[in-house]
Amino acid sequence: MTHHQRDLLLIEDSDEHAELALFYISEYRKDIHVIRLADGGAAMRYIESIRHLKAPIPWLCLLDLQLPKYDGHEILSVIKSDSLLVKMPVVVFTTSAAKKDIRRAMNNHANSFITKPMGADRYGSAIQSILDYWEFNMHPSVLAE
Amino acid sequence: MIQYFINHFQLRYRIYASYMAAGIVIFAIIMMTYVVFNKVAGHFQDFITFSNQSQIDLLLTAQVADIHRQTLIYTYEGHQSAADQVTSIYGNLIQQIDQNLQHSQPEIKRILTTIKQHLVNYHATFLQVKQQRDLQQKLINVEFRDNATAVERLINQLILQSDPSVATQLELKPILSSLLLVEKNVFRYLDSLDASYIITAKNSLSSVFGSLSAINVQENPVRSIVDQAIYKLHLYEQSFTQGVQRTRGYLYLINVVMAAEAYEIHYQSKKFSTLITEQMRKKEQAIHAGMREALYLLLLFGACLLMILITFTYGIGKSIAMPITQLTETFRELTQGSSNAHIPEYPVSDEISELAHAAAAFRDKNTQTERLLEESMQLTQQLEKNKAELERSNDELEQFVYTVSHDLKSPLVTSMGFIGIIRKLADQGQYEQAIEKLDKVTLSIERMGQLITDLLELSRIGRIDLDKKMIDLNNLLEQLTSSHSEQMRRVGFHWVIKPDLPSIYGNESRIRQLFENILSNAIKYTHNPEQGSKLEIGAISHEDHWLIYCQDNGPGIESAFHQKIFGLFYRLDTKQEGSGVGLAIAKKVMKFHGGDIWVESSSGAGATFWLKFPVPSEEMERVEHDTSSTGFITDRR
Repeated sequence: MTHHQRDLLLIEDSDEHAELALFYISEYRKDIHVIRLADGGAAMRYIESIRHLKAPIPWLCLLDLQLPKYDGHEILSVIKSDSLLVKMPVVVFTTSAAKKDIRRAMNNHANSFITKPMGADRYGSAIQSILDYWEFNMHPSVLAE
Repeated sequence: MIQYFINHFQLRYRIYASYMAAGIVIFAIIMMTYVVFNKVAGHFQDFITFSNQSQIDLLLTAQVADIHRQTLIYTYEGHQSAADQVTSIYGNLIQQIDQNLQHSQPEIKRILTTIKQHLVNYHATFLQVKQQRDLQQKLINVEFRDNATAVERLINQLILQSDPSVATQLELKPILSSLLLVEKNVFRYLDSLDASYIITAKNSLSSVFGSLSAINVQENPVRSIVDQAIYKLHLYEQSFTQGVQRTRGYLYLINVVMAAEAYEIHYQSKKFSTLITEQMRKKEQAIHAGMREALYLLLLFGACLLMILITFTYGIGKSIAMPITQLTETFRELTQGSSNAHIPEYPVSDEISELAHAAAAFRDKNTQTERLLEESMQLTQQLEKNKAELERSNDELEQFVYTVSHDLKSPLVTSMGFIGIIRKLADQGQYEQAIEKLDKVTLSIERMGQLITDLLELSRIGRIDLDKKMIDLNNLLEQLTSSHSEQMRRVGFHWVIKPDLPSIYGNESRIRQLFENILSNAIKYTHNPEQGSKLEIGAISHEDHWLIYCQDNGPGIESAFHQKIFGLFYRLDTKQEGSGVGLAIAKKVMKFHGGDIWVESSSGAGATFWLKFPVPSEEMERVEHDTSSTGFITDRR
């Protein structure tokens, strides 16, 4: 089960940030398949497709807040108001540390709120920690099996 | 009447008037009562007069009875004191009648005069009686006695002389006794006035005559004496008859004449009393009628006066109460804060008008208070508005700071992250890859620099560029075309500017930047290979503003993003270069010029940016014209 292919939904508008995330994820865990969505519109479309196709939900979602078109909060509320997608852990991963963002994300049932660290090595370690933590978490897909 | 009082008399005069009216009415009633009582008193006086008169009448009757009694006493007894009494009573009566004659009614006067007349007659008769009685007394006492004595003496002489014959002696003795019987009967008669005594006396006298005559028939030596005696006896008889006649005469006077007079007086007195009674009865009736009338009048007049008084008092009371009631109502309204309470008209200057003035002052105060309240409410509203404005501005600032912090942190995160990767790659010996990543760091830092520059630019709008002037948009856009013609030609972009664009009042460099941003956005995002990318700019005139449209034929913008695209650092498409500041700047420029910018679009049908500029006021245009003309004049010199 541990070798099961894991989909990680990365919703991130900044190509640089996406590249950083991809770099560290691929370096740390080869088995994780990253689906990157560059803006709110793409994210919404993807969510719609999962909903309609009844596709298996991704293992984890890393969600940025500042996005073109629909922002992270809107996407979060859509995810968390869907009966299927609500099971997907959503980690808000953003540069913002503003209280109103944290409050809003928590109100929308975000599973975590992590500010992107500003340090040469800390970005990587943050990614690793997130992956490690959610590795321990029993994924809801187990219930489906 | 009430209104008349209100309009013409002060409050206190109205109160005085009501009291005075009451006083007048009371006085009038008292006066009427006085008149009635006076009349009654007059009637009483009349009654007293009547009473006096009846008293006089009674007195008169009593005295007349008295005088008659005294007269009779005198007649029978012959007392001088009785005669004196009669005279004294008569004097009194005459005096009283004379007294009453002076002030009596004609009828009473007439009766009294008659009474007096009869009284005088009565008295005269009395005097006559007295005289007669005196004479009779004298006759009886002197003549009659003398004659009697003479006859007696003669007969006694006869007796003495005719002694020889016993017969004569025998005849003479009865004559003497008869003679004595005559005298005795006469005196009896005089005492009792009984006529039988007179007859007896006469018979006795006749027998004496007969006896004497018989004696004289015989031859007699005493013939002469007998004749003398007969003569004397005749005299005696004569005086006797005279005395009786006199007695009868005064008795007649008393019993017929005087009694008639007394009766007449009595009759008159009775008439007098009847008259008085009649008059009193009439008077009584008159008094009854008069009193009834007077009382009726008094009642009627009193009732009328009372009605007038009640009406008058009611009018005055109402004239006082009515304005006060109205004012009370006004004050009640005023205390509820009314500023348009009706204050009743009050023309006279008195205490109530003072109240009305107070009410007016109250109302003014209320009006003032209301105005102040309104002002205060306006100020509060203004304050609320300012507060909201401030809050909005605060929110905007917060949003700005939030956005800035995020967008400035982002390149920092990027560069630090890549530095970490570079380090890692370097550790692994992949130097080329590491150096490749270095570009990312550079780019990211460059972008950060660009962001800071944009932010500065944004913050300048409305803060530094304060000089405004009239800008001819046709000119401005023409200049813009020429400066961007190379770029447009390269991407095959059409830039259509409709003629007759308006002149607007604004800061030229900012307006230029605005159109530059719109143009560069259009060049960046309008990709229409079929028709060729195009941006058309035109103007629509409205009453107080100009609407300038910038219409492209690009992919359009979904309505969900129509607001968002004007936000700072907001980008719909991250593939294209840009910092997401352009439209934020455009919005701020429009706000600064008192206008607005918004977009109308639907997905796939192009987008239209609307710019709303206020029509420059005449003053602005004039100022502009003046400065330009001045410049022109300066140039010409």
